[in-house]
Order: sequence, then C-alpha cells, then structure tokens
Amino acid sequence: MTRAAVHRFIDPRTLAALGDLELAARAVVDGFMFGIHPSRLPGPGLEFSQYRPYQPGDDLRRVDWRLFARADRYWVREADTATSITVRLVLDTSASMAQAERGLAKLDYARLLAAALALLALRQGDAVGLYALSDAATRILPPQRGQRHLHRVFHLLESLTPAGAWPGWPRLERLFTAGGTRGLTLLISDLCEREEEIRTVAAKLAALRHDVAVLHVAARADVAFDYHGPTTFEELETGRRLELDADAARATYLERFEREAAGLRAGFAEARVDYARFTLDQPVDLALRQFLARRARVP
Amino acid sequence: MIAFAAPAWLAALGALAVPLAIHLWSHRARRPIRVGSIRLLSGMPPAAARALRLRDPWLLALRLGMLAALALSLADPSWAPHGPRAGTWAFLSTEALADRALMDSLRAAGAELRLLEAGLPSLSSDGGWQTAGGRGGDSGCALPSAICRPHYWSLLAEADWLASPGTRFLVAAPLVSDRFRGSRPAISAPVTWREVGAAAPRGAPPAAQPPRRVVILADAAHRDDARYFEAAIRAAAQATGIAADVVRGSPDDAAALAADADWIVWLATTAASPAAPVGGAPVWRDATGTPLLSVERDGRRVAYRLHTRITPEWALAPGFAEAVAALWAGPVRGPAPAPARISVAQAMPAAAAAPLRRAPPATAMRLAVPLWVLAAFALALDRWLAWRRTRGTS
Repeated sequence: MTRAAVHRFIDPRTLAALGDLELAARAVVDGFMFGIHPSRLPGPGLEFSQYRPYQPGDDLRRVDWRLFARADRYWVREADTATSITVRLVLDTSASMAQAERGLAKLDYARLLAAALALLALRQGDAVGLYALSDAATRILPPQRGQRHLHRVFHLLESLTPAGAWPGWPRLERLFTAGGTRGLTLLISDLCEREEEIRTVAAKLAALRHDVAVLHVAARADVAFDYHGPTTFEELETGRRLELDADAARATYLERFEREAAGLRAGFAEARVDYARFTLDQPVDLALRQFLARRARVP
Repeated sequence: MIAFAAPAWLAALGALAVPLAIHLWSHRARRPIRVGSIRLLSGMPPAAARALRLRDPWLLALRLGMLAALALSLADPSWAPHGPRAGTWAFLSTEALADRALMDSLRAAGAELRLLEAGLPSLSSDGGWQTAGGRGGDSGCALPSAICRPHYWSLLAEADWLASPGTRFLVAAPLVSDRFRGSRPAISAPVTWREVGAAAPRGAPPAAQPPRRVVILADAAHRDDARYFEAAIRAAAQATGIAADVVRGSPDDAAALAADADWIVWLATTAASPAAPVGGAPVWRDATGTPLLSVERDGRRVAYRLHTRITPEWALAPGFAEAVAALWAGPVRGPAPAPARISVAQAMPAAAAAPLRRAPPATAMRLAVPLWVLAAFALALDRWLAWRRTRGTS
C-alpha cells in the first residue's frame, strides 16, 4: 500500500488527457489487491482456503500428504475455485454526461471507470460486455473473454460521445434478458433523470437476479453548488434555461440534493442495488479502490 | 497640493466608464452554465433584481483603480508639500544689482529676486545667488561674452515655464537692443519693465550735427531696393542720432532733387548722372570675396558703387541694416557705438494664455512612476484573482 501510495491517486484530468485509455486503465488498477468480485465457491484451485477432514468420496489427489506425515490424519486441502462470471458495464451516454468541470466531462470520468473495471474483470478471467446506452445511439459489445476483446472495449469506449437521453426499460429489456447468463452489472451514470428511468432499470436488473451496482458520477458543483451570483443554468438534454441567484438558491438546492441522495440510497438498498457516488475531483483509482474494498467486505 | 503638468489627459478618466459598463452589462449576457439537470432548481425564485447589482465590488474597484492610475499618470501629476507660491518674481540684470534701493524696495514688496542671467539664479539677501534649476550659473560659458550675453526674451520664456501659474514678472534691466534677440516669445505671466541705467548711450553724436538730406532716385525696376535702402537709412539715422531727411524720386528728377543733397542714392540700370567709379576699394564683400560695394574718394566727394541688387533676403538678414548704419555714420573713431535703446513696448513679450506644459516645481515629487507601478501591481493582482477564479470553478 505504501509503495503504491507513492504513485497512486492521479488527477483524473491527467488520465483523461493521456489519450490512451488502456494505459490510463492500467495506471488506475496497477497494484489493486481487490478483484472486481470475490470468488466464493470452494474447490480445487490455486488460492488456499482451508483444510477439512477427509471424507470418503473425496478425490485422493486433494489429500495433503505432507500433513498426513506430520499429523497421521487425512486432511483435504481446499481452495477457492477461480470462478468466472459475466461483467456487464452499462454506460449512460446521454447528453447530460457532457457536463464538464475544469475540462473533465462526466463521460470522460465514466470512460476511465469503465476501462479500469474492464481491465480488472478480464484479469480475473471474466467475460466483459459493454453497453453504451442513450436513445440517440446504442452501442453494444456482447460479453466475451480475452485480450482482443479488451481492446475492442477500449476502442468503443474511446469513440463514445454524449447525445440524447436515457432510453426507457422497454427498449432495454430484451438486451439483458435475452443472454440468459446472469452476473455482475455495473451501471455508470450521472443519474440525471426526468422521472426515475435509470433507477427503474437498475431495480429491474436486480429483480432479474443480476448483481447490480450503480456508479453515480457527479460533478463537484452538483454536490457543493459552488456557484455565485446571478447565474443562468442550461439543461444539457433539453436545452431549458433557468436564471436565478445562485447564492440565494444554494441552501434550498443543497437541502433538495440531500433529500434526493437519501431517496436514491434508500431506493437502491430496497432493490438490493449497490450504490456509490464518484465526484469528478476524486482520483479515479482512489475512488475505485474504496468502492471495491467496500464490495469485498460486504459480499 | 497636487498639480498636473498635462491636465488635458485627465479626460482619460472617462475610460473608467468602460469597465463599469462591462461590469453592469455582462451580468445580462453571462454564458449559461451547462448542467446535467435543473430538476432540483425548478421553482426557485428567479434572479430578478440582479440587473444593476454590483457583483465583486472589490474586483471592480481594483480594475477601476488600475485605469484611474493609468489616466492620472498620463496627466503627469506632481505633489508639492507646500504648493508653489504665486507671487512676484523680480528679475534683475547685473546692472540693476548696483541699485540697492531698488532691491530693498522689491524685497519689501515680497518679490522673489532673481538674477536675469542664464539659470535664473535666486538672489539671497546678502547679495550672493544660487542657481534655481541646479544648472550652472553665468560662469559656465566659455564662449566670448558677446555670444553668451543673456537674451532677455529667452530667459523670460524659461522663467515662464518654471514659474507657477499666477506669478507676475518684474524686470529691472537696461532696455538696449542687443539684449533682445530671436523671436518675440509668448509668455503667460504679466511682465512689468523697470528700466535700469537709462543714461544716454555712450558715443552718441552731439546734437549739433545737422540733418542730412538724402535723395534716393530709383526707376520702376528698383522700387523695392529703394524701399529697403530707405528703411535702412532711417534706422541708421535713429541709431546714430544723425537725422536723415529722405526724399524719393525717379532718375528723371535727378536735376531737380539732387541739387542740395548730401547723399544721392542712384538705383537704376541707367548710368548715374555724376559718373560712379568703375573700380575702387571694396567696402562690402560677399562670402566668396567678390566686392558688393566699392568706394572711390575724390576730395570731399565719396562715390560708392553697388554691384548687386538689394534683394529682400539680404535686406532682411541681420547685418544689412548695421552695414548701412556704418556707412551712414562714416568712419568712427573711438569705441563702437553703444547699442540702441528700445522702448518698453518693443521689449514686451507677447501675451499667451498659458504655456503648453509647465515644469513642476523643483521641490515637487513626480507621481507618474509610482502611479505606473500601482497600475502594474493592480493588473497583476487582477490577473491573479482571475486565474484563481477560473481554477476554482470550471
């Protein structure tokens, strides 16, 4: 950790400016102790888990003979089986993801997150699928394993541009029900909804027995509302404008935002959806490390 | 007291309206902030009363201060702790220094006494003087005194530049022509003359000399020549005190006019009736040595021959009138004649509304450079604040 801490926590703007998503992803996940998901199936494997007494029917090859020589008992060496699952990265590419802060757009941050997660997943031998969704353009890479697929994922991620709005569940239902293989679904979005369409999709996926986590990408100003004076706000997806005095509006906004955030957490908890918020000024690797560490503790 | 050397530049303070206008106007035309959702902002009271509200008053004040410092520095302000006194400056020529009574009376009247010499040194009460502008006094001139001799008009113009507005000048000096050279200056300060050493010029001829009768005979082609020559004769008569009775005529009137003339001036292409010499000793020469006027003496009769025309350039150039005066006076024995006395009206400089620029008083502190530094500092501070702001928000 200390060695890693020296070169860790790179400014996300630096990573985004790198231009090479694969390199950025490697820089983020380099030295990660956490996988993207724990593997909990006991069985033969490399990672030692425990010894248990021999029972008739166990494969004799799994008896630890050196321990038998010391203890004169048959112990079976058990390891966590390296399980591989399907990781689906669902990326919101609606126009609202173009909101930028100090030159870094939400989509840039989401891109970095997705690339790092894809790299982690493929290192674990998982199949990775990428779903870049908006009603203007839906671009999909079906789950697959392998280094070449990883490059396809990076390439698609690099070519994404924000446009349109989030498509409703009816348009997505077929995408996630047809495959059959359930697994981990990571939904990366800014959660800028007109109604509750993104939350609905997360809940529906959870109901389909996917392991769903929502990675909420928020701007620093969304959280702190650090605007001053008379300000004109323009909504990216609709172009609607609103003029108000930011100083006068701050208290109300922050109160509403807290209530909204509490509602989000409660709603996701009820739907058994994991939720984490990433703000644009957080280093990607630090935020991702905290997220994965929390997931490792809470299976 | 703050004085401005170029007060016209104070109009540049009008530029202050520009950032003020930008400040008030830019609030209407602010670029909208593009956000993902304004759902949480809906229903908030709109910013209605923002039009003429000052935002960032300190930043605005900084920018206005920067512009004001620039405008003021263009006006070249100076700070004099006491402020220049607008009193009377009395200029005394070296001749006037002998007149103790005059100096005492001027001092009693509160006038500031200065020597009318190069540098305009101040006269202290014990009779010594120190230069005013830090420049060398009259001792610095290595050239012959005739060249270094102070010319009152240029000294008065210099004094007008140095003096604060409202100063009155009193000049106690001899009114003689050789102290007034160059063009008549325009001076804003009112000037009073008090003539000193007004005694009759030395070498003035006795009044007993009878007036001379001069007959100038010129044909149509030489009318201008005759005019210039007559003017020169009249000036010479005034300068030397030998009165002239000038009569003009044409060569045809020679017999009638020339009978009792002391001088006959024949300006015509035809030959003069009393034959003029062809050769003779040159009196005037031009720059190449060619004689312009030659003379031949024959008993009491002296005949001059002019080998050239009297062009306006020559007649108006310095030297012509003096040369004619030398002819008029004849060979002078003893010291050269003293310069002519001139009238007060002739000595008086022209009146001007105000000099174009005034020199700041010697004790005043120039504020232009500190103002520039202030403006540069304000600019740096402004840029730093702007940089910090763009760094703070996207």
